[in-house]
Amino acid sequence: MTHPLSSCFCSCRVNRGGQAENSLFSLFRGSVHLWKIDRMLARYLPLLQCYGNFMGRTTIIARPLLASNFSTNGTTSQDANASAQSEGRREEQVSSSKEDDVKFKIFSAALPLVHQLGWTKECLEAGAESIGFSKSSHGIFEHGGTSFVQFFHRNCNKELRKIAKVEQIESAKSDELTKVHQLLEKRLQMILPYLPQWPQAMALMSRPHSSLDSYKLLYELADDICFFAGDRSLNATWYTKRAAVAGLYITGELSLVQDKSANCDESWQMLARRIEDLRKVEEFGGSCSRQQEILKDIAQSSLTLIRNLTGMQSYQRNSR
Amino acid sequence: MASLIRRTLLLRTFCRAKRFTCHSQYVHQESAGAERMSNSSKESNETHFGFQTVKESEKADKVYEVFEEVAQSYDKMNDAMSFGIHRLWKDIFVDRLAPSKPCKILDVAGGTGDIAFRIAKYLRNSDGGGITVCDINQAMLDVGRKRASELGFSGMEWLQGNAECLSSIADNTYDSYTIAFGIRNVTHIDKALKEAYRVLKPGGQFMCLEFSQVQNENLRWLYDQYSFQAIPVMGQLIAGQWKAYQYLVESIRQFPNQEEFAGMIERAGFAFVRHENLTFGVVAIHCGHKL
Repeated sequence: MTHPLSSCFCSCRVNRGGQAENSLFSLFRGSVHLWKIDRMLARYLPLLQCYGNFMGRTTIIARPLLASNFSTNGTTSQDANASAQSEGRREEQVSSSKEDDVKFKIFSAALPLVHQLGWTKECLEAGAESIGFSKSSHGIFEHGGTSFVQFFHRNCNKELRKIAKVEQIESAKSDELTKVHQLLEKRLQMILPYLPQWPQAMALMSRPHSSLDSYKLLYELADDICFFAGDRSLNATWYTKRAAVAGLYITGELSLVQDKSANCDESWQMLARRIEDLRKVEEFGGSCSRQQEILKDIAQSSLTLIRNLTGMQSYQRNSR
Repeated sequence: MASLIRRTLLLRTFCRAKRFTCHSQYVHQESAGAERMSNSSKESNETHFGFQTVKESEKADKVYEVFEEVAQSYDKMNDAMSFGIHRLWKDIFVDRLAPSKPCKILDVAGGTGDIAFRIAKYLRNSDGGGITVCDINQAMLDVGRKRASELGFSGMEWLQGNAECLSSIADNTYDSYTIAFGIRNVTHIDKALKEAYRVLKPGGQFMCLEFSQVQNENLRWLYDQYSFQAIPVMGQLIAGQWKAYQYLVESIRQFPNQEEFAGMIERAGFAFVRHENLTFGVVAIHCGHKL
């Protein structure tokens, strides 16, 4: 099935012109069809796109399309850019590779000490001292432990992107959901070494003042996973897929921190079961959308029947 | 030309002002600065002292006089002018500094010890070891030393010195450099920043608490009215010093705003420069790291 939007965006870089629409989470898509949002988008997005082009702001209007493209470039996605801007325009402007290097060095030195000191300012201090920097350089991580955890997440996302690029070529044939499963598992494995301290990290990330940045990081993660799993959706499923992946990741984290089984087997099984659930949902959604036209006819004829029964159609006869 | 840092005294008030009132002076100053560079031997280098233009060599002495006069009633006036809020600003400042034991901290322009005592308290450091207070003004240091002995902080070092030339301090000595309400009174801010850079260890943190520009225009108007109409009167009534407080509010307006000052810190070599406004920008905390 060729998506109606495809032709509308033929000028867009990420468009895979006429590519078959993938079917992950098509339950969501099914409901989208029912509500006709999809068609509405098909009708109005081209107008928005024209307007966007005219205003030179294509990236904002066509955001679902371009956002994933940003991630592939290995640079930050639009939201991450926005967050960097909110962190301080100045910081971004002057941020040189030397600054990044130093920050990364201190982070790398502090990471092995997390087991003893936790995700804390003291850990950063100890890390900085171990590579010859002053204790006070903990201030480079503006909010102490919270910034430490966020930096760790950002770093893991970066790692995942690297891995995914390699995998993408190797596992070109496996389906989207399998790839999502693999990538999620890889990402969750990255926190395994710090599992005893992970509840602390989760607590830091969910504090009110850091929650905004946490959501951005989570969005970045979900966006990367969907993109590398091959998602090129152009409609509202773009959002629902990312929401589902983000939800899976959080579920996985929560399960891992409570997991007492060897090698956290139970969590991995849990993740596999959730992926299976999604697969079933997808199949169900697929059959739903096939039934959709029939359902629509049934609904319409029922409506007509009701109108006839209640005599609401009679004005038509009268007017004749 | 001796330049001196002066602790600002009372100066902490609320703060920032109408920049347009002194804008023309800024322009004047900048062109004067350019001339200075092109002809450094020229004798009549000028700088600002409040809204007055004075010779650079005179500014330090004038600032010294101001602080000598107000040293005794400095803390009282701070409370009166800021309605006690200056205490909160300083608490937040030390909280952002987040020092930890053992480390060496230099508090410049810290005459009466406000910041140094807070740091010692933060560290639960009973004698204040590792903290050095430096001020150009002996009168201010005397007040601070007296308070320190009353509070039992016997381990603090007290050092009379100019922020522009901390020659008695070796390179790469301190973990943190703090300057609260002081840098405004330094004749050559860029030199003071370079000195700060020099004495800090790699990774060391530079923290500055200073009056800045109120961001909201309506509040700025209100703040200006308060500063120009009420503060000199309070100075006269409480400390018997009209002119010192007139200087205070004028010097606040002469000081670069948040962005400009952050630029100066970057030019001195610091990285990770950021700033945070307190009380709508009446004061701002600037912070940077030596790499």
